[in-house]
Amino acid sequence: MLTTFVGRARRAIKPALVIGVAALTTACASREQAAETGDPFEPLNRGIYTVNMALDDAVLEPAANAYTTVTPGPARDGVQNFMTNLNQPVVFANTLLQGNVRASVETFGRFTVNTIFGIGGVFDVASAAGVEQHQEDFGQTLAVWGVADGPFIMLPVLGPSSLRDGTGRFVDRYPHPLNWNAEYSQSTWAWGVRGLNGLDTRARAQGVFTTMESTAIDPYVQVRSAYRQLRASQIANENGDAFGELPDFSADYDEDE
Amino acid sequence: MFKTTLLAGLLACTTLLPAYAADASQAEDFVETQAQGVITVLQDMRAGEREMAEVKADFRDRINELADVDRITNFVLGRYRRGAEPATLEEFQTVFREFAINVYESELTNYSGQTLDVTGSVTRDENDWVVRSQVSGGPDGDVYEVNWRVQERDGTLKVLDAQVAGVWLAQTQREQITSVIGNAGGNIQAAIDTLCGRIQDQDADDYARVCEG
Repeated sequence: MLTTFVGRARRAIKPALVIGVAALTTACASREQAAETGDPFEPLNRGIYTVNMALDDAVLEPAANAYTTVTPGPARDGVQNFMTNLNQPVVFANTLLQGNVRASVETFGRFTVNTIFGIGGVFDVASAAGVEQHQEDFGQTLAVWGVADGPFIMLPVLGPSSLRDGTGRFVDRYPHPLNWNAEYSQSTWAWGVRGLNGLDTRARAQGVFTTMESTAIDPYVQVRSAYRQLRASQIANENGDAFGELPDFSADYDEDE
Repeated sequence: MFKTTLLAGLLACTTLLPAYAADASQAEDFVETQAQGVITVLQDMRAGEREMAEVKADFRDRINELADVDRITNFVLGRYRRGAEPATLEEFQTVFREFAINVYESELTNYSGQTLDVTGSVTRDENDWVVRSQVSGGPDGDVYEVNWRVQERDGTLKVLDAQVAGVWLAQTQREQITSVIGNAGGNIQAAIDTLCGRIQDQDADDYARVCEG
């Protein structure tokens, strides 16, 4: 019986494997250019980017604009403060994993003060008191541990990422308060908070979207480049070496570094 | 005899030294003065107090004072600059310059009427700095951090790149240009055509002058 099952499984898996490998090979950029840019899945990524932008045009941008129109500025600030505060356990876990004791203490202090005195984080009392805010995630922690970013990945809906940062994003779900309890994690309230966070994040990014649209030559590559630079900048800032690696502008420059 | 030799040596050393060697404070002063000047011109443009053509010409002059657009143009071509036909290279330089200046105009207009304060600098090399600045005073009350890559060449300071929100403009442009050319099998004309398309979106007059002229 076991032999029959294994045989059936093999027969089922083999064509699927062949199709999968073929799809992956097609999706992997065969061109030398794609390998040079650290984006071996460029054709697939471009396809996802096109769908993402269509989704943004049809749903996300209008929803974000409506949210901005109907929600007064102070209320939007409150939403942003609440979401930032809710993410502080993630930041705290990562500052610990990076061995940054000072940042851990400050983050713990921020979360405690803002949750209690800032009414669940709606008011950012800690910043008013001069406590520094940190932005750490597991992707950055992996970078601090020496893990390279790996191939560029365009995630559906969520946008630009990399193998390292995508993994980090998955891991960061666990220390987030919305996922502390499995049952509560799937509740309507928890999904409502996630939806509001997405809406608020998109609304705050409107200026960036407008700027990128007006300055783009190849919009997909622009997003890829901006994402990588931003992540490198976040990691370098943490290492105190923000301008260590900048390109050579010499007039006889003719080699890609 | 010794005195004469010493004098001759000193004279030779003085002659061999560069005519002008800038330091970090001069790079900071350069950014503060030149970048603020550009922002002020754009305020004139927005206020409509001067003739538009005059303000645009003034803006272009100030951009040329502030930034080394020729070096930026060569930079964005990356490895494709090597071996390019001189006529194609010249056409690319003309088209990219137009596109870049239009981008600077649209982006810096966001800062018109605001104040630029230099907050410090990082010396990367004896003639290479990153000048940090903050732009403030806008209607939303936000403070933007803008960093400027400044280099000295032949005694002249110029900006080569600007970083806003962690993203360097020229670096991003180079990745896009080289991608367009690479996807076209190394053909620089593809980048020229793409840039002309973008210029047409930006300003129809500029498109007619640069791409059809």
